[in-house]
Amino acid sequence: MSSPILSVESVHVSYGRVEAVRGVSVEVDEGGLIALVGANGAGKSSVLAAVSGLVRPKAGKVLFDGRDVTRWPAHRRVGAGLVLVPEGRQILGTLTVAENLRLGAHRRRRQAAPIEDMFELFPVLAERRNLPASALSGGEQQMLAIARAMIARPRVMLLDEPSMGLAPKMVDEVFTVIEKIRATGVTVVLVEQNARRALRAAEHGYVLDTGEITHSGPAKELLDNPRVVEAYLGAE
Amino acid sequence: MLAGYDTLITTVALGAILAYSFYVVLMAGQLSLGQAGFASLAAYTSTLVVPTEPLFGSLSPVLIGIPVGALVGGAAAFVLGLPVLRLRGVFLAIATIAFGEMVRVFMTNAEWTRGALGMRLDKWVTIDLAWIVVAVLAYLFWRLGPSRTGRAFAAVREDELAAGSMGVDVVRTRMASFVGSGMIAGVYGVMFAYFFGRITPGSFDFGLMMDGLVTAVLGGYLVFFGPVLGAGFLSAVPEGLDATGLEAGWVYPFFTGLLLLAVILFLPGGLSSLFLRRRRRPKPVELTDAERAGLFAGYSEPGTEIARVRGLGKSYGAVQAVRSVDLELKSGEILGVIGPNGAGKTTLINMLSGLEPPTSGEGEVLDVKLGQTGRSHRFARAGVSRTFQHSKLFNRLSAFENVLVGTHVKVKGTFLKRLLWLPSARREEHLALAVAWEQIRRVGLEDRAHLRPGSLSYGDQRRLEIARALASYPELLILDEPAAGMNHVEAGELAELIGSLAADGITVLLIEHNVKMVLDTCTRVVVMNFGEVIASGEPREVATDPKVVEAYLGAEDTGESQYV
Amino acid sequence: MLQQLANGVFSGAIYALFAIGFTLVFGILRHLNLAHAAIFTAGAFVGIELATRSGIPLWLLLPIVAAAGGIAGVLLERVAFRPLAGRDDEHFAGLISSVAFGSVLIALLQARYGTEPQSFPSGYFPNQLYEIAGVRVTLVQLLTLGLALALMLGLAWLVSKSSLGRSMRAVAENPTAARVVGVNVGRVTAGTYALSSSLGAVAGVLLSINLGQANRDLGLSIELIGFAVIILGGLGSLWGAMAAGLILGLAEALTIHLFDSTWKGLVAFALLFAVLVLRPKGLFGSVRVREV
Repeated sequence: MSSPILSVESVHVSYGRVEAVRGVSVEVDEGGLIALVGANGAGKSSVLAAVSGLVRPKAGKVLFDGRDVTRWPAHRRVGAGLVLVPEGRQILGTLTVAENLRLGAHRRRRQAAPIEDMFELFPVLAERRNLPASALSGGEQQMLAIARAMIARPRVMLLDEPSMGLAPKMVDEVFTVIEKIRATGVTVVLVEQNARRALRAAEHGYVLDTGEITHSGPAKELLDNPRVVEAYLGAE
Repeated sequence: MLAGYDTLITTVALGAILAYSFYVVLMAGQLSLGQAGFASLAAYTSTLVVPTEPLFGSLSPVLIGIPVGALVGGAAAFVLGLPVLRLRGVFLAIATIAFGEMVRVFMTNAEWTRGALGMRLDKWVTIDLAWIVVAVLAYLFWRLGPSRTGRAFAAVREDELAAGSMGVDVVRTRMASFVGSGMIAGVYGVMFAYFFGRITPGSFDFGLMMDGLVTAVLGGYLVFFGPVLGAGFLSAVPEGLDATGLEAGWVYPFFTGLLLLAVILFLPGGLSSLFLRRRRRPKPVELTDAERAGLFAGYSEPGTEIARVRGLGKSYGAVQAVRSVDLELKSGEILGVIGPNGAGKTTLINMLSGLEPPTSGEGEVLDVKLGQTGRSHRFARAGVSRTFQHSKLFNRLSAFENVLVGTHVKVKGTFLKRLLWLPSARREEHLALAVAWEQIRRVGLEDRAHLRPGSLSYGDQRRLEIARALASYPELLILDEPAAGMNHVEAGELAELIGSLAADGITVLLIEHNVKMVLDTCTRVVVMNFGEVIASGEPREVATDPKVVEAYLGAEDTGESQYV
Repeated sequence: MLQQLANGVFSGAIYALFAIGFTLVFGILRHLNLAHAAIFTAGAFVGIELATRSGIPLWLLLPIVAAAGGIAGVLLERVAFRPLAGRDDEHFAGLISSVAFGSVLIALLQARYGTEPQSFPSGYFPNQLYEIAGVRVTLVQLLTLGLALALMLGLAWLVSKSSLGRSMRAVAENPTAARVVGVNVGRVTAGTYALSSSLGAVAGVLLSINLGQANRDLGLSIELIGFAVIILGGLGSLWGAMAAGLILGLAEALTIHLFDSTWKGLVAFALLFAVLVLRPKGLFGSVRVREV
């Protein structure tokens, strides 16, 4: 096995005295797609927050491309190509669609893709380039959030609940886009509550429960593991 | 011994009085800077009524001026408060500054005030009188602190939403603090006028307000003697500087500025917080049988309908968070509401607890109609109590004090009775303490009751919020994701607790992501997705409903669920 | 009449220039920076000292004062605002700490310059007088007006078009989202203070040039007027602050003309009060910094 492009080594995350993540280790090879699944409050988003630099882990390490980035601020990680598409999209509603994209590119001016490429990839955004982003529908906002990360030509893209609150048809579209991103060689770390969808798309999966990884393995195996379903619904 | 220091010591008293007029708004979390205006109005009005001769040959004529000042200041604050108390934070601060400046300009231009020249008055305020006023104020605030009203002030300061949900009338509480501030500022204005023997409109300016604010903050607004300490300290600094030979004019503002900066950065509770003893553990107080019987009075018969909503909807602009929900709640049941993120569960219970008005549909909870905003305390008084998805605890109160706020709707006001040391005050306080103690013990936090919420673990914070909600002896208890972030053991204990509440006759509405817990605890379950109810019924039926499985896990390729 | 209106425009321009820095910080960071007036005053004193000691010309003096103001702004942010981030009472504590910073700064000015007003050296700038359509204006007034307008337009351009401005607007709307896309929020925050304070310091020089002198209390009255301007214009709105500054200047001039100068102070506050009670968003409330 080649050395992973991103590896998280027994990371702990706490908010005050609340331990959200307790010793989680995850790794992904260049070009791979892994899924972190688990019920709400399991700590999935906190893992991504630690990887992207939004919170500083209390213990553990984040290695990106062989470098220890644990102490790097968030903007420096973006500059290095480790880009998050956050939960709830977090697009900037008062800025226009085009401004959101330019903002996404500003840390990686040299590597960044031309804005027109994004409009080609997401035609729906091209039509609305000069509208404030708050005027977009939920699905369109998710596309914008992904495009805003894509324009930085990331090496690893972290996707936090991209299907949240979307109608089933939009969920399909989002997953199609994720496949496309994959195809361009970008490594993807996908966090999802929609476990079946995520595990079908991924090669490798991790199941989180109350801040710890309870199962991990090839995604196909997890899909067929009744215990995984239990972690969600608690059914016997 | 103090001869020669009379003026200084009286100035300290005046500074403390001014600081108290800030203290009373700050303790309720309001930043009001209209005090100079109130003081000015009161001072000028008092010149019209204060006699020029001593009363009965010996009493200071200011004894008439002081109540007049309080009246004028309080009335002005009330009239000003009606429009401006809708504002908050810096907007409130700026509006009240504008009021102060308007009063100043007005007084400068009025004829009877002799404009900018000012008025000469007799110096009737003595050192004794000034300190008697300070003592009275300190006594008031000492008695206010641990009363029901004092707790309401603190609750509003820490979190208005949570305070309202505990039955505190936020609008009235803010107004009360505002009027109190006006009254004290009025007294200050009169004392100022008859101490210095001269007032001009410029006596009560923006700079004076900043002085008062600085004194209150420096002394601290969490302990009743903070203003005295602040005023004393600010007067002692120049004396001390004199003694060390640093007399240049800039030295005093320089050091007070640095001191203020240091206090706000490193000692946010002010100097008086240094004198706070370590928080004591509260002593156990037991409910008497009579008290206990009274607490459960008025509960509905099990099985009667206590809430009913029809076609309830809520939209935020183009986003429809909840659409057309029908729901009934029967006394004694445990209703679980589950559904994926963003399904509209929290919005639904915000409407049921009076926090947000619906945009369509109608309903009643414990005979209170859903609709108006800012009226969540009415729901609390009717018997609805709740916790919040993101804990809304009162951060600068101890765990036990948090629960005490929860007793708000179960005890009567005690402030005035406490002033007079009436036995009924003690009875009401006993009830409050006993209820709080009972609830904090029920959730198993009795040995951590003296800690602040911030130093409790996450699970403990959740339990504390439940204890606070229980302290109102609600008929309907709404829990918003109480198990989020708890481990399995804690979640199991919580489920047991919820079961025991139902046994007491409390109706529980539980929103939870921990589906297992909901299925194990609830008597009925409602499943929401995209703002709609997609399934409801007995827990086991719901758990096997394919629509529910799909909402949670995503669609199955083969269409059929294999494992549930 | 016309003469008074013209005077109103000049003072209005200075009000606006002062207030625009005030409102910039509020719009982007939600801080009400009460040290702004002290930096304004410091700008005036530093300007006078530079002119007196080295006699450098105005075109060189202004950038130097602006740079000094920027440094003071960065220091202010470090000392009085950054340590409070994330605290429960962050906003209230920020008000107090900025008051404290301001009074320390004023005390230092007093230590250096004493309590006497300081004056620009006589003949520092040409005392030329023009007459346009029956209105007499000095060269200094014209210069002030032109500079104030140029600086305000420059700031508006910066916020709406430049990459820094885009980052600032991102921070204004949602600091977390800004961090996610790689904005260095700490640097943008410091930059906002630097920009705001350098504008404030330059406004101080311009006012003291017009008055010919500066004293310790220079910032006090303009601080109160600044409140009125930013509320009238809508807290956080750049265009609003510019328009409201001019409106206030004109309204004051009209009051003096119609009534008497002692009523002048009432106009600003009556307007401010009415706007807060009737329309808290401000007269131009929909136009906020982030939407410029």
